[in-house]
Amino acid sequence: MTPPSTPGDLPGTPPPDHLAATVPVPAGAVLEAHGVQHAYRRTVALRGVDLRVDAGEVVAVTGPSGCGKSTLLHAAAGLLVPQAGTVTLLGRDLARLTEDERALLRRREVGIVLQFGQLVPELTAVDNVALPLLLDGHPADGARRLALDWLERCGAEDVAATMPSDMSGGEAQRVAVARALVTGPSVVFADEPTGSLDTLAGRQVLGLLVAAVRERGASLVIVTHDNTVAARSDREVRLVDGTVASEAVLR
Amino acid sequence: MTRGAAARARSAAAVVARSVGGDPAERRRRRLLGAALTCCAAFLLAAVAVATFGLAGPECLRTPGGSTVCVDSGGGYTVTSPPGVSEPIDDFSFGGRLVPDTSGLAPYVGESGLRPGVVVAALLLVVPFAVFALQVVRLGSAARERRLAALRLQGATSADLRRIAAAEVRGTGLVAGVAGLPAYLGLWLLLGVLPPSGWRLLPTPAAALVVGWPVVAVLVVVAAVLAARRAADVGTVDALGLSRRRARPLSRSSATTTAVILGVLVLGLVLLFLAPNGAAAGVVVLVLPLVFVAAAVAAGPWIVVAVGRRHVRRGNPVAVLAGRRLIADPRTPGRVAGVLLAVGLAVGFAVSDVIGIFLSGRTDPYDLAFFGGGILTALAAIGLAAVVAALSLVVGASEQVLDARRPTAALVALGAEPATVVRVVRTQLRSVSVLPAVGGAVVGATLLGGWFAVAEGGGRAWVVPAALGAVVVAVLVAGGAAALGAAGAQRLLRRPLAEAMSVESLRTA
Repeated sequence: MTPPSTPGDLPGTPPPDHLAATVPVPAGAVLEAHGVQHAYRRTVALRGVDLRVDAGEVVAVTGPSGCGKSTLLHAAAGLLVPQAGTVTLLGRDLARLTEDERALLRRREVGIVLQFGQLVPELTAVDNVALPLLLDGHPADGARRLALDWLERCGAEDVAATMPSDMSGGEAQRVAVARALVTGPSVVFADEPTGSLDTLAGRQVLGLLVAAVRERGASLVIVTHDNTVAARSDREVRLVDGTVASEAVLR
Repeated sequence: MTRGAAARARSAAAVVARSVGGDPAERRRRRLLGAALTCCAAFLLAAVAVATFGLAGPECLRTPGGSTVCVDSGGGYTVTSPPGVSEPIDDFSFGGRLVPDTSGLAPYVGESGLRPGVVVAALLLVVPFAVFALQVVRLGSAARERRLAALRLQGATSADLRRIAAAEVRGTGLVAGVAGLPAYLGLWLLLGVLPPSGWRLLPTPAAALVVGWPVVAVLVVVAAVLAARRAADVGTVDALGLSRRRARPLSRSSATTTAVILGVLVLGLVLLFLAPNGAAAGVVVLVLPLVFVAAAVAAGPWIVVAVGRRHVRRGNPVAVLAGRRLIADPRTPGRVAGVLLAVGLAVGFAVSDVIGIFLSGRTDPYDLAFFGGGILTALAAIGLAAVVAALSLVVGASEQVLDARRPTAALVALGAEPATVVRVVRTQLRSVSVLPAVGGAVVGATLLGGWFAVAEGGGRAWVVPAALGAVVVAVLVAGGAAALGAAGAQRLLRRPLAEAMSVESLRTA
């Protein structure tokens, strides 16, 4: 895979200032979570979790169903504010940011891949990938060219004009990976990205995601209960019943 | 299918319908459907009551002076006064002095020549409720599609699926059809008893109503069942099971239907233009509003697609998302857009009418009461249709919001501010409400109102400025009301939208 481009790589489409600012991936910890606790009504999902992710690191968060993996990822990505504890993402305490500021941070510096792709059903693949850039005020032509570029890098150029309802699960996940990477994020969060795919498609999507993130020097936090997925990471953090049960450095 | 197989399918349909009926969302859907169908039945019965009024013979009423006034089938009066009593015929009029107050009906109903217009108006008022019922039938259709797909996986045939869809609404339709009569009686209390004498719009319930009731009930059940079978979308349910909804572009048959209705509309207009005083003109004038509303509802989805494409061309993400969503399912908002187009047209006509009457310098109390009462009644009916259309908009939009909650949550996860998602929904709502209402108002005020103003004005100098002013006022009234309706709909959607944007929606099926 060739080095991935960022919005600023396209000739004639200078990146917005904030995107240019994200290109140098920060050194040190990109994510620090301390004593994170969260509960849904009577169900306690997290009971004081600590997690640190360094720049360029690939961390797998594993554990049985219902152990709080997804809740931890949602808290780390600023999708929810935990009831206790602190989460610092790219140097910013997420609890101190407003909802819109967290949205802006995700849009500009974070990529997210979810289990079923979660593409916008009314948009074609290329429009789905271009969407984060369009939301950020990027010129439409440049955004679409960059989206096509990323679809090609992810092996999904054939479905560029296809609607999500007409894609296979693997194709939809490839498009979702392209969408997560198109803004040139410093950190990517992936929640069971291969959970809905067969073994071969899952391996391909995972390989694509890890390779793209490593080439860029970005960080990846991947939630999974698949051991083969965890094996491709630098470090595995195992959650059990809302707490960190073990940590293992794999590389 | 053999008789035994059909019986087994009906039995399976009944089991599924019963188990689905236990779901709270399904119960809510049935209540809404029942309410909408009951209103349809009530207005159909109102049409029956008005249409059959006076069929038994001339309606004879006694005046305070002791004369007897009989209204003949042509709308004329025959006055028989006791010896020594002389009451001029003008006194048996509508302006308050009058009297045929054994019924106290407004002249639009009392005079047989005007009565068909009221029948048409009652039938037109069925349309927004029918559109609302259609939206409710489709409510929860994503969950239903998945349920039907699961049944298909277990061997259910297309015929089984259609039976199941029909069984889901048959009972509700029957209850609504039966409840139509009590609902009509309520309507009669409101419009036929409470208003002062001379202003009443519904006659005292008569035998014809009892005969019409079962017919209307059967009509309501049949319409509900047909709509449910169609909404089952059996063509898109396959044995592999649907896990995602597919875009439902408008079909060629839909285009043909729209073209045929538009053709009939144009033909009617041409007939009216060529022979405005011909024998058929009266019938054409009565049928044209029904054809126009049918044409507007049929053309609504195409208008929505055109508006959606325009949004997509604008390129900004809010417009693109709103446009794509409109294009993906134009039928649901399109029907509402059609009703609002008709509402806008009626507003245009009413505003032009008011301005025309005001500037024509009429002073006769009968004229003022006749036209003023008619316009007020029409405005109340227009308002009712607009409110029901706005509720249909809420039902359709909330269905889309709920159906798309996971992608919506993913959109927020990607970094779209919640305000952006709200703007997308607002753009959708305004596109299918304000634009059609304003378009209808322009057409109504320009064509119908303009023509009316010219006829009323008799070529006076103020006619052209008045017609132009009518267009402006109609646009402001219709557009403002539609914008208010869209804002109200958006407010009602706040909660489901907030739920759709929440992180929990990422986990929903």
